[in-house]
Amino acid sequence: MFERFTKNARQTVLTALRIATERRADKTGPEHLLLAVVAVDGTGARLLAEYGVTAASLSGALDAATQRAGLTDAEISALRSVGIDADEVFRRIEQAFGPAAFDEPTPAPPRRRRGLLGGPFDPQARKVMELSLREALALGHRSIGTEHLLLGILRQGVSGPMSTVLSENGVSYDDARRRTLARPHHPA
Amino acid sequence: MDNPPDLTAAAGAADPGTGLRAVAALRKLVEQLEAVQVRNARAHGWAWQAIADSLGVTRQAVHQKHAHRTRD
Repeated sequence: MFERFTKNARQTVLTALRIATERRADKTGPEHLLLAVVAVDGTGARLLAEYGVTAASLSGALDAATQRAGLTDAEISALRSVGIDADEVFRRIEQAFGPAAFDEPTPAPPRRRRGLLGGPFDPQARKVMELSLREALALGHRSIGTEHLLLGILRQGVSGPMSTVLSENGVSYDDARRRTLARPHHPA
Repeated sequence: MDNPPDLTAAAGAADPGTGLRAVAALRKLVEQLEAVQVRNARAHGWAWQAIADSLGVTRQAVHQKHAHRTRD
């Protein structure tokens, strides 16, 4: 499948692996692929820029979520309802340990399956790449570019804070697909 | 908004959905706080046994849970 990837798409996959390592993630997931798409100067990034989604807005959302220990607004308000001010907890943790205090990988299972079935990508990221191939084929494009990776990511979905950034900026699978169709396809 | 009246909080917690979600969120928060505090204790040179005693769990439990993500 990788032989059908454009130069930019290959660069994106490598960048995703690097980002996951930098963020000390256990596996590379769709959210790392999305951060990579927006970081590599390609059709996918240009498409996202049309919506006003930038590398800064996406990683900013991730960092903000990290500062809140990954808790959602709903979870924070549920805590408030039983008398716990989570925001105050976060404020004190940040005061004592800095803004990246919660930025740690989730505990890994003791024995991880590596090898052909495992590898550096989580199942959702592998699905994204499978979907991106399907998107390219469905659009009649001969190669898989960063725009197809982006469509694969949108189809698969990303978790939490980044999905909020996407929806707030009006990025949806259907709309992005429509815009991709409207563009001339120049494999690079 | 800053200080919701106690009655409001009590009403919220009386709803099973809200109450259970609060418990789930608290569990998540506890896990995150534990990770931060264990890391900090290790950084201050605390032994696993001392950390386990403070947490009220066995040394094995705390080591198995945190050793792989603590930079020694």
